[in-house]
Amino acid sequence: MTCYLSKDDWHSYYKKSLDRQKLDEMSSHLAQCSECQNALWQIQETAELLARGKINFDPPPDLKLNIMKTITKSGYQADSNKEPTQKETASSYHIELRNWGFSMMAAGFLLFALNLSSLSPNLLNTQVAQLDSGFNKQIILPFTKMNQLAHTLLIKIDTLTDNQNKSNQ
Amino acid sequence: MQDNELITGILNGNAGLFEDLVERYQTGVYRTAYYYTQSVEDAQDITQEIFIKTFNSLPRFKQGSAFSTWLYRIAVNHCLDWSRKKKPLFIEPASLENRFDKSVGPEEILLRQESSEEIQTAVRSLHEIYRTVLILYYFQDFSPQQIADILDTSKRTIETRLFRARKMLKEKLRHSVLGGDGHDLLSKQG
Ligand SMILES: [Zn+2]
Repeated sequence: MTCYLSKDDWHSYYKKSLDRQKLDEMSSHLAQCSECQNALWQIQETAELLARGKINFDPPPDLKLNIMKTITKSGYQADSNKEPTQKETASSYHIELRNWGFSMMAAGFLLFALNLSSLSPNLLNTQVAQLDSGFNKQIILPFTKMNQLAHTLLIKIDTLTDNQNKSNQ
Repeated sequence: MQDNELITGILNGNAGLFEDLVERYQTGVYRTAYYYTQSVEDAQDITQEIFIKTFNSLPRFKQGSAFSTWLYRIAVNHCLDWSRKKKPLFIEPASLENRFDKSVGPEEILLRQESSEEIQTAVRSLHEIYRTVLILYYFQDFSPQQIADILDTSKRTIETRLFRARKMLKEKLRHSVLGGDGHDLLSKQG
């Protein structure tokens, strides 16, 4: 007799994890096919043997506690699809502000340098330091003030960022 | 609450709901880890790592699919990673009090423990693809379709692996159980 079912579904049949129609079909085939009976018998036998290797002890009571402790302490960690948090948004705003400050400084310096070159058309950047002391003072004074202003501005931005970070922690 | 409802709650900020998922699945995951490690300490560490990994990956869980399948996929992969890294050193017997029903007499407990460990060791000595299907099918009671979903393969592949795994197990046990006198526990031809 030809065994049309082959052995492909017998483990599913043993767990009754097939639809009703398939189960009935296999049951009626089983009644007349010794090959399939043998296949099923092997599964039954293995199940009985391995049942002796089964454990029935439960996890220790502190397992769940430890898991929950770690989770509440760290929050989400390994999640790559994470939305930016409030903290990240706030800091990036301050970083942008800081960058904006730098840009303004650079623009100011460029305008100042252009003004200088209009005073003396042949003046090269490297020659600024060699100017006579009177003219030097004129350059250094606004330069120092600008430096101080920029420094104060940057410190202000940094303090803001720090405070923001601290309040988020 | 259903698994999916709990997950929605967790993702909406109520991390405490994860405790319900741990409660629901910790025994199964812990026992699975034990079959791979045969050590209660390692099984505990691994189970902890599996649940933390699961929690951290929750935003990537596809709502509508079965959480148990997804969890066991993480669990099996974690156990296999552990097995690949760890060389088998010594097999620690779990404490007797926890291990078996108290209704059984002490002599019977010893006999059962003996063969239980031999069987576990034989399963553990098989190649990981056969070890995994035996653990999931015979110890953890999953159907071939569920195992196929966990391992992301076809049901047909699982059925084939289960038949092969049985033959390999038979070879392992032929001489180890019952003193190696050629007595075959799985006596019928396979
Ligand atoms: Zn047949």
